[in-house]
Amino acid sequence: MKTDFLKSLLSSSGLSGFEIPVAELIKEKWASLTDELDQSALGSLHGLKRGSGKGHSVMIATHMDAIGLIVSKVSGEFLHVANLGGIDIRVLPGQAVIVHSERGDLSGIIAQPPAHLLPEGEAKGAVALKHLLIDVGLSARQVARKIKIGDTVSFATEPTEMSGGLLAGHSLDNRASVAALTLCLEELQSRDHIWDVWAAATVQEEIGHMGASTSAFQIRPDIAIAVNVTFAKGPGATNWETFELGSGPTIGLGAVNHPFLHQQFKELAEKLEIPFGIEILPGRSGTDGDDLQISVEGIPTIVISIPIRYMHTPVEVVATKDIQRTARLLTEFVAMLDADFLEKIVWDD
Amino acid sequence: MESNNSGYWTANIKVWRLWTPVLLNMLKIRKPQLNLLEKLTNATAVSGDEGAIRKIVRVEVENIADEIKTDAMGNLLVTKRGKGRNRLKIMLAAHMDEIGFMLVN
Repeated sequence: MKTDFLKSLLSSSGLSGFEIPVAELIKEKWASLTDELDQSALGSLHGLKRGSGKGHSVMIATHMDAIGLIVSKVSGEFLHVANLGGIDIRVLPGQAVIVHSERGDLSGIIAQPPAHLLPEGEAKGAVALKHLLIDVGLSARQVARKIKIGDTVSFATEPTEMSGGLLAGHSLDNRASVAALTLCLEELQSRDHIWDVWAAATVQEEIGHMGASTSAFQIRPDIAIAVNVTFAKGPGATNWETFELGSGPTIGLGAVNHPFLHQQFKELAEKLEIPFGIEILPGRSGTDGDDLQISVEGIPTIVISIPIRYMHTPVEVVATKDIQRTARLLTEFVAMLDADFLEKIVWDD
Repeated sequence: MESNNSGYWTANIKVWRLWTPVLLNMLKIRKPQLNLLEKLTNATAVSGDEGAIRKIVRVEVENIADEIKTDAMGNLLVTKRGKGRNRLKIMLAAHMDEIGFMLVN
C-alpha cells in the first residue's frame, strides 16, 4: 500500500475542535476524487461522488480529528495542559510534542516533576495530568510572548514503518480510516455505482461525535457507515473486545448496527474472501455511528472498524493491509447497492 | 403528629377501598389483558433485537390503529387519529426492549 497520504495525515495536527490543518490536506486530496466538496458549519468535509441512479445515497463517515492537549495555563517558562479527548496519561511523560502557537509551531517535551516534589500520595502510578508540564526551552518572557492559553499541543511522533507491513504513529485513530475512505474513493473512479456516495471527514468525534451528528442531519443519507478503529490484540489486550492485527476489518453487531446491513456486509466479505471479525457492540459503539443512527428520523447504520494496537497513545500501530481490505469492502459495498436495496432494508419480524 | 398521620392514611384507605374496584373495572384488567402481558413478558427482545415484541404489538393493534409503521431504528409507530379539525398530537412512548446479554466468546 502507498502510505504517503496516510503518513502526511499522521504528521499533521488537527485536534478535536481544531481540525483545519488536517482538513486542508484531505480537501486537497478529495478535490479530484469527488464531484462536489464542501464543508459543514462545524468544519466537517462532505465530498459527493455521484452515482448513475437517482436519489439514493450512502454516507461513509470517518472522523479526522485527533486527541491531544491544549494549553490551560502558562506558568513562567512551563505550560500546563488539559486533554482534548481521552488521552492515555500514562504515556505522556517524556513525549516530544509540538505546541501550535500563532507565532508558529514550537517543539517541546512533556516533563513530570521529580517524585519527591509531588504532593504526598501523588507520586505513585501515573502522574496526574495537572502535575505534568511542557517545556519548550524558552525563557518565561519569550514563552509569554509566543504562547497563549488555548494553543493546541499535538504529538511530534513521526510515522514509523515497521516490519511486516505495520505502521506506527499517533492519530492512526482515525486517520487510518480516512486513508481507507480515500482509497475507496480512488477505486470508485473506475467503478460503476448507482447510489450517490457522500464521503465525510467529520470533526469532534473524540469529544462527543458532534461532527457526525450535524453532517448526517445535513446530508440526510439513506444509509450510513461509520469507519473507525478498534482494539487489536496486544500486551494485556486479549479479551473478546480485541482482534488480531492484520486480520481484516470488523463488522459491528449490536443495537447501533442495523441487522440487515450487518448481514449484507458479512455476506459480501465472505463472497470476496476478505477476512473480517465480528465486533460485538452491545450498547453505544463510542463512534460516529452512535450519532449517525439517531440523526433525522433514524438512519440504518453500520460500524466498520480497523484494528489498531495501543489506542490513544502516540504509537498506535496498524497493519496497512487492513486499511486496503477496509477500502475494498467499502468499494464493493457501494458497487453492489442497486435501485431496490433500500426497500430490502426491513425489519424481519 | 403520628396520630394525625394515621388518620390521614385511614381516610385514604377508605377512599381506595371504595374506588379501587371501580377503577379496575374501568381499566378492564381481565383475562385478555393478563394473557397479553404474559405473551409480552415471555417474549425475548433485548435492546437492538426487539422484533418479537414488535410483532406481538402489531398484531394486537392492527384492528384499532389508523396507521402502523416501523422506522429505521425499529420503533413501532402506531397512529390513532382523533376527530375534529386542527388536531394536536400526543405521543405515548413505551420502550419495548429489555435488558439481557450478548454472547461474546
